[in-house]
Amino acid sequence: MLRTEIFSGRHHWHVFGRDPDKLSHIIDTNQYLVRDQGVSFLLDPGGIETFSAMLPAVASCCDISEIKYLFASHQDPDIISSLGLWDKAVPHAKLYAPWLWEGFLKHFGCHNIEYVGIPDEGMTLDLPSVKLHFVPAHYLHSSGNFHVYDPVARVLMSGDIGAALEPAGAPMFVDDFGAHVPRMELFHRRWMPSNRAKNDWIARVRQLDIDIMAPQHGRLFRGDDVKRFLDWFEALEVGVTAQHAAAQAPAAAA
Amino acid sequence: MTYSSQREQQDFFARTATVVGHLEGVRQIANGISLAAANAKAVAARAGNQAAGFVPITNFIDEMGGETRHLVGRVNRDAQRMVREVLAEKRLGDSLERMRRGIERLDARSPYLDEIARQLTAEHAAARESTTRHLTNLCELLQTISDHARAARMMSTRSRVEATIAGDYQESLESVADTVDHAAQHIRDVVMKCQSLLREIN
Repeated sequence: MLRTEIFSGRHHWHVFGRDPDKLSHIIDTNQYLVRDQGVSFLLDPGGIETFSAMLPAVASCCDISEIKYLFASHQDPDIISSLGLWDKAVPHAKLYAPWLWEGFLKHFGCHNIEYVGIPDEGMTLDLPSVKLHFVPAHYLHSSGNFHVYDPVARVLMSGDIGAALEPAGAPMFVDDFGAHVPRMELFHRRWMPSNRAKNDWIARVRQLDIDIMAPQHGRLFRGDDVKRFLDWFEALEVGVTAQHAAAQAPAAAA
Repeated sequence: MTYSSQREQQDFFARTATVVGHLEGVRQIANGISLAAANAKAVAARAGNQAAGFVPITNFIDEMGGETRHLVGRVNRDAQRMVREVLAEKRLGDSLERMRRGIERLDARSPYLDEIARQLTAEHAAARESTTRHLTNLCELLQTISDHARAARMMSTRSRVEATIAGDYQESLESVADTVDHAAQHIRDVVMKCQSLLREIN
């Protein structure tokens, strides 16, 4: 599991991914860790198959017992099916996740970790040197969905928004936005069900000062690529399957 | 008990589920025995002194039918609980394995994670011990049901002897004895099947 530090200040952001030992039939995922003066916060800790690689990767940058908080942006297995294992590793921790999914996520096993349901409007989490914001992203793609914004590091952990389906070993950051678009297009058209939810989210996120947008799959966006992504996403019609597209094509041509 | 491989565990679940299914059939047969006993009581009451020796036998068979129903209910509950426990044990074993794999890849030893792994190992061993204990109890309960059925067959033999002196009621009472005998034999056969299924995993 590769680890890259994406912000270093009084607190630190790390991304874990591109695991060379990952099973070939499971999707690659990015996991994030915020470390702040002896308190660690693990975001979208990953699936059950990722755990054995994540544990030593996380231990390489903090003591596991330091992990006080976990976050699940939504309920998907690649996000949080490792919950039952983290429940054994950090039984003292709290899990922040959409209130909507509490009864569902507990199927993964949550006997020790305290589940803190994030209300629909979002909430904040105080770390020693930064107040993190849980930003609503409902229906993008899950009906109960949040992202995490760090106003000090100016990092937006954006869950499945900005995700790309790429071959193994892709670079950690987007270096050519135009070339990256085809890797994102199908995913966003198909997985994101609502144009209205998309536009609401874009309006909300445009008010944030963002240096790095960090999705759960594929490359991260930095600098001007963040704005390029928002413009591209705004123009994209989502909630479209291949069948929809095929059915609309003749009508559009007529 | 050993069922280390996934295949063996699947077999275990399938066997336990089959046992639960078979025992549901035994419960219905036990209901039939109670019904036969009630019928025999009615016949014996009509026969009066002619069937006086039959009354304690029917009382015994009635009690045995009730007891068998009770035992089958208990075995069913125990078997279902055992399936849940085995699932929990499997999850613990899986967690332990994944934790160990992660710990093996650490750059440096972590006393914190070593302690977590030690606790998990102990929890897993306790779960395995509990499952083994439940399986042993289950086998003992099945043996008790089998013993009851054997006693019922002996009673049906005695019933036939008593029926020979019941005059006009001989045929009715013999019919009751046959019903009990067949039911008891069926219960023993089913219980033997269940014991055989469980023996393979014990």
